[in-house]
Amino acid sequence: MESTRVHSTVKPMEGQLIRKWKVYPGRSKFCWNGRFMCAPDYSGFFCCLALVVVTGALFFARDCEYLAREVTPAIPVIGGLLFIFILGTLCRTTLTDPGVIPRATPEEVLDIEKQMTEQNQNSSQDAANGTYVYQAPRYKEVEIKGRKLKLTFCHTCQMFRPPRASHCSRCNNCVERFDHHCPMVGNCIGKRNYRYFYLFVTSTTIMCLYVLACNVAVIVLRSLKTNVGDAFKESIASVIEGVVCIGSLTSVGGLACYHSYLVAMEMTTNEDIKGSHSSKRIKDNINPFSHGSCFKNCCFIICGPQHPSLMDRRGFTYVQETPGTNQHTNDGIQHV
Amino acid sequence: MDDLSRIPVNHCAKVFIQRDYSEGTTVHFQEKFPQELEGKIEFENFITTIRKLNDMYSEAESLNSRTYCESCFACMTAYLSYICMNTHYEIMLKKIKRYIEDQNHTVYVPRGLLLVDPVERGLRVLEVCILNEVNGR
Ligand SMILES: [Zn+2]
Ligand SMILES: [Zn+2]
Repeated sequence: MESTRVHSTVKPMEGQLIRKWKVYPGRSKFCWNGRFMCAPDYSGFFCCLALVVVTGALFFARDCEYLAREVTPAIPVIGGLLFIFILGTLCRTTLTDPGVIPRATPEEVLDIEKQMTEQNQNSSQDAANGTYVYQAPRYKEVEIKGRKLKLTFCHTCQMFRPPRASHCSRCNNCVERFDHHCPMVGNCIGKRNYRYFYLFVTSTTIMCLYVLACNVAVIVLRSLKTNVGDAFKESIASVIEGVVCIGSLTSVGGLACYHSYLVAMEMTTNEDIKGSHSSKRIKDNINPFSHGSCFKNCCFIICGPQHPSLMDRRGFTYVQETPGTNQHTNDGIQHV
Repeated sequence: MDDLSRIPVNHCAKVFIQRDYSEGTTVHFQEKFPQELEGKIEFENFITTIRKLNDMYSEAESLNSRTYCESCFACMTAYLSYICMNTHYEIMLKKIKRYIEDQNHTVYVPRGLLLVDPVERGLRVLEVCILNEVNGR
């Protein structure tokens, strides 16, 4: 195949030149020509968004209007800022790449298989009694800060998963620092969007408490002027918001507490469930990924460097003539 | 740089430098000289390149005051600022890309080798192509 520069006038030799996201083998969904991506089950995102927007609209239209008149105009301003922050973090969580690791190129796969067969031949030549049986590679041991960890081989992505990465079966991708697959926000939660997810959960909890406090204030203020029954009748909207907020608090509030603990310990939900770093099973089983103190861990999660997406979704590649192999590589293309 | 982009690399032999996880999950490549490259490049040149790359990656991933301010500012704007702003990491990746192109031009291509920017392989491996050896498949 002749190699061509990406941005020159294109004469595709095999098929066409297309964006990489169109041939990406995972199940993730892409929108706006690959600028955004989310999980295949993204309907939860719209439910979440609708709940936030409808409750917010009710809050701003009824309670804020009343409280701004009766108490202080600062109440809708604080509420508005929180509301924008929640929408921003929710959209970020759903629409950013969670940290998908691109699949290995055919050359890399060959290299791994060569190494594995050499290892297997060395170790099990006698056991196999001369007849060589190919065994699929399973583990590779690495040592991280003095602790031994096993890297498993991902048969779908054809590579050894880096430490903390895990394969999400719903999105069919390996995700770095995999936390969990969240159908509510409609995306995997991983290295690149955990920060947004955590901030979304905590800010939603704060917003729920704020709205609840405002609802109580509205009802109390109104019942001081008339009687309690009339006050409830007048503020039906506040009652509805209150019910929604209490309902959300039971799930989001719990999540916020749990993830605050995880952030302070620099653990993922995945590791916590598996008990990878728990000292109950193995003594002196410290978490090798912790930065030392709870404060440092929080800083790294919330303010640490933002890792770039590794997928190059908007880059170009050739369509290969053999479909079904699912291996689309940028053969011959060098990005300059 | 035009000639570099025209080198066909899809059928030549390749050497892969794997990641070194001993210091955690930050990007760090193994600082050892692969056997396959013996006689093709001087030990010093190769190790210098890898060390330099590792230094640049660790600078990109460190939590210095610059990334700290950048993240806090982005958080303040509900992450809308990322739409029109390059992060420190992205700027470092561009630097690394330029460094690799420069090294290819001055050191590797004259010796019949070619480095592939790790970001094109998902930061998993550093790929070294041996240009005049055909991959024995
Ligand atoms: Zn995988
Ligand atoms: Zn997923």
